[in-house]
Order: sequence, then structure tokens, then C-alpha cells
Amino acid sequence: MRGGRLATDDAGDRAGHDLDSAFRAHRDWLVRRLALIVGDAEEARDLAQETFVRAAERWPLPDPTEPARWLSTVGVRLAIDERRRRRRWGFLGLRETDAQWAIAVDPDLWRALSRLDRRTRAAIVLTTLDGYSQDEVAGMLEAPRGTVASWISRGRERLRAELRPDR
Amino acid sequence: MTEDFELELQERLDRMAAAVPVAGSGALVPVESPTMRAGATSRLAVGALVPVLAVAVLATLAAGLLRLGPFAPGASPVATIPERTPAGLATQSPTNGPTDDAAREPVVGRGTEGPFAIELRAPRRVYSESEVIGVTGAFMYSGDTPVEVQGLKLAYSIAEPVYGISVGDISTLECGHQVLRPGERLTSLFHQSGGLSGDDPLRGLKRAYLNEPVFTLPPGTWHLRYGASLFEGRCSTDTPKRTLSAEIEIVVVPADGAAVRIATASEPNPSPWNLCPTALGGGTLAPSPRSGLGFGADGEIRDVLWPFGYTARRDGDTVLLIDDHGTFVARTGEHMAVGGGAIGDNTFFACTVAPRATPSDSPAADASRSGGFELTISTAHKSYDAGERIDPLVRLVNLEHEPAPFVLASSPLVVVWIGEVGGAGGLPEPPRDADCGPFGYFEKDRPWEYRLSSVPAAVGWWPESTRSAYLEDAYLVLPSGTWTLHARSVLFDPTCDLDAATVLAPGITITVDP
Repeated sequence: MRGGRLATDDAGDRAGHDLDSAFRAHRDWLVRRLALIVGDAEEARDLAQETFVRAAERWPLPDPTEPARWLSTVGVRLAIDERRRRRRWGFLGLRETDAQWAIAVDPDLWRALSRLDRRTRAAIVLTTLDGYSQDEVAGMLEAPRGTVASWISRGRERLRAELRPDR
Repeated sequence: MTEDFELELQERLDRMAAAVPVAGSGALVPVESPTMRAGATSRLAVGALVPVLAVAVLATLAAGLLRLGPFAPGASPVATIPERTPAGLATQSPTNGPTDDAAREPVVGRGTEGPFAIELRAPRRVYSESEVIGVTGAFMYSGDTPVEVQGLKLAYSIAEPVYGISVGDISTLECGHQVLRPGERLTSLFHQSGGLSGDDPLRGLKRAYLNEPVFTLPPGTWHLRYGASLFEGRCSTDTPKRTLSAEIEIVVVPADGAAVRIATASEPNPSPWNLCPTALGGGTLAPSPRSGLGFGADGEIRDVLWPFGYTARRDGDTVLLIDDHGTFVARTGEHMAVGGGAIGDNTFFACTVAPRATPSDSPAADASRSGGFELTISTAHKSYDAGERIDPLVRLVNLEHEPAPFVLASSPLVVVWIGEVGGAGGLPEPPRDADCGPFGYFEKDRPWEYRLSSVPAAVGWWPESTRSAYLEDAYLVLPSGTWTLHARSVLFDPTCDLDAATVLAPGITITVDP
């Protein structure tokens, strides 16, 4: 386990059973993760908000020692469902994408990520950045482990092809 | 090398994550609008309104259920100004300014409470979306002797039921003390004020409204409110609080631009000075440089003098003819019959227009085909009864490509929007943006189909009123009138170049009878 997950787990432990503390400890982290997955900071903030609304409805969480995992799972599922719903409705997605923050930092990575579907982006972010195992991600995304492994493998190959075309 | 790339990817993702603007906690943020500047002419930025388009489409559906706002009977704001031409014809254009008498009359709302009165006044009812709306509010005291009041709060607000927008009711005055003298009148210009929530889906629109230096509004039927509250004597829970409110309704119509000027009779027919000939005429409706719309094809156009009150407006590549009641009559390219007679060398005076044939059992369908793909939009009928379920089907199919190509497409894959012909219910086409992403392998002859009435209820994103209306009656119904239903898909090549993309955009027109 690496990076954000270690930090947030510690924060989660400190957060204990208090939803307000959990919100303060995890909200920004969740927004950052979701923004990488959905590619839009405003949508990520909305999704994080919705995630915490659901957390409030179910509080205390089934595993109060690991709120970050519960929040990741719900947030990512919402992000993917939102995408699916938007496609079905065909009504949304009319707003200009709020991605200047990403384009300013790493336009190549942004472009490469934007060519992946959300499930693949979610799987890569959760494994690469947060250190979740493929089994854990498969559980979060409600997909067979082999399928998730395939998403990650193909996604990384595509990222590598775009980010390191000459290697 | 794999491990190197893993580490590099992690670092780059970390940097990008750190750059995400995470602000916006969802707390209520009071916002005060800037003071109105006399003579300023800027208006709400179009971009700021884009998020509401999606809501507006849903709201269109909901409005069908609720019969609110621009969809209410008789709410059509289209008006015309007859204008003489040298040839003696009058041209009428569905310009969007206030043109009929009712629209020019001042609109006043009043409320009273004991010796206190409140008044909200607009110089007229109909405005163009780019116009500054000069509304004034007045608070008056008509008692016989001076009165001491505390906590006098005066606030303006707006509400638009179709868009589900309500902003206002934030006042800047605290529990201050003042004495009102008999006949005292406090007057102020309507100014934007209000609060918005960080998790409000319409916050972009509301913020744009609040930040606008002048008072303009997007198209719609808007309710403007002026409210006052005060305590006679001390601010206290023991003291009865007096509250007053006044409300007026104004209509903001789309900016001119969609209008097509057509030649019309200068007065209703028949009249003592304008008898109605009985010859039969007709042909294929076509644009005419002289009369706006005429009959003909391939450059052979016969001008038509249309009945008084007729208007026309552009709808994509076609022009719609609309009668004096705002009802869609025909679209360029369609054949139509008229009664009347020839006047001049090449002009037909259309005194009567045959009703549009709308057999209820024939489907309405249109297909757009390009690059080996086809997008269709259809309904089971061309004509529906008010309240009848409308079941539009949108279908995207790969007609040619084998093996299945990997499709890069805009998101959403299909955009659908609904417009009211000749009324205020119209929505502009959503902008085409370069949102290019992978959609999936698209197998030949295995279409993606979207039946709008079977879409599950949305959660989370929609205004509660809209969502609940949709949940209660989860299918599309529309008020009586003529409606256009459009669909659009943008399919990209691997370069994601919007200019090189395949755009499929069919549209149909249906009527809903009273």
C-alpha cells in the first residue's frame, strides 16, 4: 500500500466514528481521486458530496475503521453509474469540462487518461495511487478479478504508449 | 522498465491529484450582487447557462406534467410588428421584443398589510433575453401619524418554475430602527440578491445571475417578487411581524436571430378592403428572397403574401411557417395548399391556408446518415392528444463497418433536446464540444437504442421538483402545441478533431392537440 491510502487510513482511524470528522479527513482526498477518474473537478465535488450523503444515511459504516475504502467504493461506483446514466439519458454532458487544473499540470497525462474509460481510470488510480490490490478493486467495481486485471493491463499499456511513445 | 513506468505514473498521478481544486464544501454561501450600473449592457454569459440546458430538457418533460411557465396555455410570448414595405406589402417578423399591446402595458403587482403597502412594477411584460429589465419596487406607508418600525427588510427574488430556479430573499438590512412618516415611499431598482448552495446543481446559473452587473434573464416565464417584513415597535418574538409581498410575471423571449421575415397582409382577412379570393394555390414551401417564404424549387420561386399574423423562424436548415395562433403550419421542403389569388406578376396572396394534415396513425421519423453510420429519431405518431404518452425512440446504427470499429464519440453519445415551435418552450441546440472519448466497439447492424420513456429516474443531480414530477409520471407528455424533437451524435476519428467528426443530427416535428 502506498501514497494516499496510507495517509487516509491513518486519518480514518483518527476520524473514528464521527461523520463530521470523516468528512473533514477524507473529503478532499475523495474529490482528488474522483477528479482523476471523471476528469472534471466540479463533477468530482458533486460525486463526493453524494458519497457523503450516502455515508450519512448509512452511518455508522459497516467497517468504521476503514471509511476511506467505503467512500472510495461508493464514490467510484457513483462515478461510473453517473457516466452510464449520462450516456443513457443523452441529456447531460453539456457543460464544458472543468479540466484546466489537470491540463496545466500534465497535459500529456490528461490527454492519455481521457482516452481511457472511467472503469479503467478508476482501476488504475486505485491500484497505482492508493495501493489497492486487484482483488480489492474488483470488489469495489463489482467486476471479476480477471476483467479488472485486463482493464489495468490494457490501460497501462495505452498510457505507456502515449506517455513514452519512443520507449 | 515496467517498474520505472509504474513509479513515474504514480508520481504524475500524485501531482495531478494535488492540483485538483477541491474547494466547495456545500455550505450555504450568501452572495450579494454588485450595485447596478446605469447604462451597462452586458448580460449573462452563454457559457454560464450551459449547465442548465440539461436540466431544462428534463424540465421540459416535467413542465409537460405540471403545465407551468412557458408551457402554460397562452404563454407564448411571440409577437410581431407589422411594417409597411414600398410594395405595399407588410412584412412580419417574429422578433422578440415587446410588440403587442398587452406586452407593452406596464405590469404591476401590489400587496398591503395595514397601513403598509408594497408595489412591484415593470414597464412592460415581454423582454428580449439581451435586454436590461428595469423593474422598480416601492414600499409605502399610508398611516396618519409617524410610526416607528424595526427590522424593515426589503428583498427581491426571482423564480422560474420550468427551470426550477429560485433565487433571492436575502436582505442586507438587519434589525435597524427607523421612523416612517405618513406618505413615505421607499423606491429602489430591482437588483439581484440571494444565496446559493455549494451543492446546488444550478449554482452556475445562479452565480451568473447574481454576479451580473445589470438585471437580465434567460428566456422563460419569470416570476419577480418583492417582499417586505417589519416589526411595528421593537424587533421581538412578542411583536407581530408584518409581511408583505408583491409579484409580477414577465416573459423573456429568445434573442432575435431565429426569426425569418416574411411578407404578410397588413390586416386580417377577409375585411371590407381585402376580400378573400377563392383560387387554389400551393406548392413546395421554399425560401424566397423577396417574400421570405414562397412556393417552388430550383430557383423558380413564386412569392407568397401570407395571412396577417403569420410568422416564420429558422429551425436548423429549414424554415418553419407559423400561423397567427403560433401553430406550426409547414416546413420548407413540404408541400402545402392555400386558398387565395394572384396579385402582381409573381405573387400569390394566400388568404386561407389548409390545415396541416396530421394523421394520428402515421409515425414521425427522420434519419441522418453519414460515414457509414445512421442516427434516427422517431415517434409512433405525428400527432398526439394532450396528456397522451409520447414515446420517442433514438437509434444509432453502424450500417457498413466490419469488423466492428472502436468508436470515439462525444459524451453523451446521443444528445436529445425538445423545442416548442412558435412558443417559448424552445431550447437552443446544445453546443458541440470536443468531448471525445472511447465509447466502445460498435458492431454492424446492432444498434444502440434509447427509448426516452423507459429511462430510469435520475438521482442526485436534478432539482427536487423536476425529479419528483418525473418520478410520478415517468414518461414524456407535452402540452398542446407543436414540438420539435432533435437528436445528435458526434462520432470522432482517432484524432478527436471536432471539425473532422461525423455529425448525425435528425429532427422530427410532432403536434399535440388540445
